[in-house]
Amino acid sequence: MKKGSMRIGKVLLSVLLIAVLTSMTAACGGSGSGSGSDGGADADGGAKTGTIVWGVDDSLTGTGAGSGLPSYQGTVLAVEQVNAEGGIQIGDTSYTIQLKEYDNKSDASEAVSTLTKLLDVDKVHFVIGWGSSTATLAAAQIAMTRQDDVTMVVGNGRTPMLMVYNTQGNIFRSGTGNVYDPIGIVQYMKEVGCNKTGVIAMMNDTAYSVSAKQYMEKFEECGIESVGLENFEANDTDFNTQVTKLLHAGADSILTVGNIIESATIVRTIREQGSDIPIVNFSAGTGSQWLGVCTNEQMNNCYTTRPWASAIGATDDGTQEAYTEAYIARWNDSPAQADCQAYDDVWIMKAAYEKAQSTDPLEVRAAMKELKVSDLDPRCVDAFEALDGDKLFDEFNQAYAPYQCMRWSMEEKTWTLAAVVGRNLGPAAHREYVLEQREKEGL
Amino acid sequence: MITGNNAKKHFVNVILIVILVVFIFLPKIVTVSYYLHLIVMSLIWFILISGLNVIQGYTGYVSMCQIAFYGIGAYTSGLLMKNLHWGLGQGILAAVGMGLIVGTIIGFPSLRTKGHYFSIVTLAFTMLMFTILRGWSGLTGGIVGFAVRPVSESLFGIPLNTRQGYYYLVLIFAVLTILFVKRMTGSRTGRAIIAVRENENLASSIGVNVFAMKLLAFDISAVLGCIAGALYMHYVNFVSPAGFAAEYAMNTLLAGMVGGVGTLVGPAIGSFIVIFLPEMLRAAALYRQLAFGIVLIIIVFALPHGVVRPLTKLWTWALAKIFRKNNVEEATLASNK
Repeated sequence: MKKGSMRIGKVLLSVLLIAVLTSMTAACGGSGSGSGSDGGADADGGAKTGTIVWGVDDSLTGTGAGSGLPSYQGTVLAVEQVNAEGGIQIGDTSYTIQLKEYDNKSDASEAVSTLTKLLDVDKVHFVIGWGSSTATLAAAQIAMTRQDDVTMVVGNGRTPMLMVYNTQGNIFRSGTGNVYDPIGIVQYMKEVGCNKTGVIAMMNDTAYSVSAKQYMEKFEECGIESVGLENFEANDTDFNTQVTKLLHAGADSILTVGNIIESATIVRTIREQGSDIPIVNFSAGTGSQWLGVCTNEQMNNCYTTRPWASAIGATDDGTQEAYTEAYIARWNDSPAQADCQAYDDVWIMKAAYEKAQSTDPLEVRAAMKELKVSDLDPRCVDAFEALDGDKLFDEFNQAYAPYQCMRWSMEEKTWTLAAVVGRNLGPAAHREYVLEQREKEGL
Repeated sequence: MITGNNAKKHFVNVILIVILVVFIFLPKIVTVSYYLHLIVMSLIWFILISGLNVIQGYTGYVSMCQIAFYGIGAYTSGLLMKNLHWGLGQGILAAVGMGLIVGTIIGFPSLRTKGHYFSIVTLAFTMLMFTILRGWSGLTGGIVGFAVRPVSESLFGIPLNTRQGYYYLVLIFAVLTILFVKRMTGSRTGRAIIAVRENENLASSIGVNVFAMKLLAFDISAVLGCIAGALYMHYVNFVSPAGFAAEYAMNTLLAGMVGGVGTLVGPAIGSFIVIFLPEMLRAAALYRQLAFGIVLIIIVFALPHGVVRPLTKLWTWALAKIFRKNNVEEATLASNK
C-alpha cells in the first residue's frame, strides 16, 4: 500500500514537473502577442479599421493606489469615449485603442518588470498611467535605456526628479511637476484666514518635501507666520502629537502636505481636538475618499490646492461638468486630480497620432513633442498653458496647468473651485530646478 | 578501470557541465528579453537566498534581516556611484565591506539570543533599517528613492548596460556563490558550523568555538546579501526603500522554505519560484497576490522540506537505476569472460 502510494506520488510529481517545464519553455520561447502597438488595417465593408495597443502601467495596489486607481479609471473612460466615436483617424483608417494593463503595486522592482513585459512580450511602444512617483521613477530608468522602444506618457507621477532623468526625451508628463512657484497659493491661504500656520508634511518624500519647503519660503513674503513644521510618514495613522504641538504653539491654521488618506486623518484629528481652524491641504483625492475618513462636518473650512481642474465651474465652457458627469456615470465615484491627468493623456496621445498621420512610434513621439494646446480635444479637463508658439510641452516634455484652490462644499459634499492661481508661474521655476539638479547629478 | 562510484561522479559532473553550458547559452535560447530579466532577478535572489541558507540552513538560526542586507548593499553601492562616481566593481567591494561591518555589529548582540528571540531581533533590525532608509531623505532620497546612471563597464566585450551583459555578470556571481558555499560546507569550518546547528553544547564540548562559528555564518550571509543588493542596484539603476521592508523578509524566508534550506540547490529553486510564480499569475490581476499565497501554502504543506527533497529523491532514484543497470551489464560481461 505504502509502495503503491509512493509510486503514485512519483508519477504525479513527474507529471507536475513536465507540465511546469513545458509551460516555462513555451513561455520563454514565445513572443507574446507579437501584435506590436499598431495593428494592421483590415477591410470591413469598405471602411478600413485597425487596432492600436497601448500599455497601461499603474499603481492599482500598494501605497500609490490612492492615485493609481483613479488614474486607471480616467484612462479607461477616455479610451471608451475615443473608441465610441470611431477611434483614432489616420488617413482613411479608423484605429480602435486597446489597452494592455498591469499593476505595478507602487513598487520599483515591480514597475521595472511590468514595463519590461509590456515592451518585450506585449510589444507596445506607448505606456500611459503612472499614477505614483516611486514606480514611475524606477520605470523611467528602463525607458531611458530603451529610448527607441518606448514613450512613457505620465499623468500624476509628479516627482520633480522625473524630468531631471528624462535626458533621452522619451518621457512626457501632462501633470505639472511638484516644482512650482507657490506664491499664488500662499496668497490665497492668507485670504482664507491663515496668519499663524503650522505645517504637517511628508518630509521623507522628495515631491512633498520640495513643495512644503517652497510654501514655507513664501510665508513671510505674504505675511504668514510659521509656527512650526511637523513630519509624518506614509501609512501613519496617529497624528495627535503633531496636531497638539502645533495647536499649542498657537497655530490659527494648518497646512498639510502629503498623501490623501493621511491628510484626511490629520483633518479628522484636528477636528476631534475641537478646533475649527482653516485647514489647507496640498493633496488630491475624490470627495468620497475624504469622506471615507472624515465626516462632512469635519471637512467644513477645508481647502485643497493642487493642479486639478475637474471642479464644477472651473471653466466657462462646461468641460468640467461634462467630465464630472461622465466619470460619475462610469465609475459611480467623484473625479480627482489623478484621473483628470490620465484622461487628458489619452486625448493628448490621440492628438499626437492624428498630427503624425502615422502609427510609427517615433513619428508619433515627434508629433507629440510639437503638439499645440489648440490641437487638443476640447474635452481635455486641464486648462493647459500655451507655452512659446502655443506649444503644449516645454523642452523637457513637461506640460503646465495652473493651480486651483478648492473649498469643501457642505452642500455638494465634495471640492468646488474657489480660485485659479499660479498662471504662468510654473515653467520658469521648473526649468531652473531641472537644470540645477541635472548639473548636480552630472547629467 | 572506471568503478561504479567514479562513473557516478563522472555522470554528475557531465550533468553539471551541461547545466552550466545551458546557462551560458541561455541568452541565445531565451529570445524574449523580459524572460531574461526574470532570470537575472532569479539569479540575484539566488545569491541573496544562498546567504540566508548559510545562517538558516546550515547554522539553524532563522534570520529575518537578509532583506535588510540586500538593501544595505544596494544603497551602499548606489550612493557611492551617485555621490563619488565609483564604478561597479568598487561598489560591489564596498558592499562586501559594509556587509562584514554591519554583519559583525548586528551579529554580536543578536547571536547571543536563540530561536524565536533571534528572529525577533533580526526582524527589528530590518524595521530599523527601513525606517533609516525612508527617513534619512537627505542622503537616501527618502521614500521615493534615487536613480544612478547605467554602468559603463564591459564584460568580455559585452557592455554591462545591456541585459545580456548583465546576465553574464550575475551568472558569474551566482556560480561563484554556489562554489563558495559548496567549498565552505565541505571544509572543516563548514562542518563545525553544521555541528553548531545539530547541537551547540556537543559542538562546544569537542572544541568548536560556537559563537565564532555563528558570527562567521552570519557575516557570510550578510556579505552575500549585500553583494546581491549591489547587483540589483546596478541592474535596475534605481533604489527605493519599499523593496526592503519587513514584508519582503517573508519573501526571502519563503524562497528558502519552498526551495529547501540546508542544501545547495534549494535556494536556486526557491528563488526561481518566488520570482517566476507571481509573473505567471499576472493574469489573475488583482487576485495575483492571493493566488501566489495559496500556491505557496500548498507547496509548503505538500513539501515541508522544500521542492528540493522530492527532486533529490528522484535524482538518487534515477542514478541508482542507471548505474544498477550498468553494474549488472558489467558483471554479466565479466562473468561471460
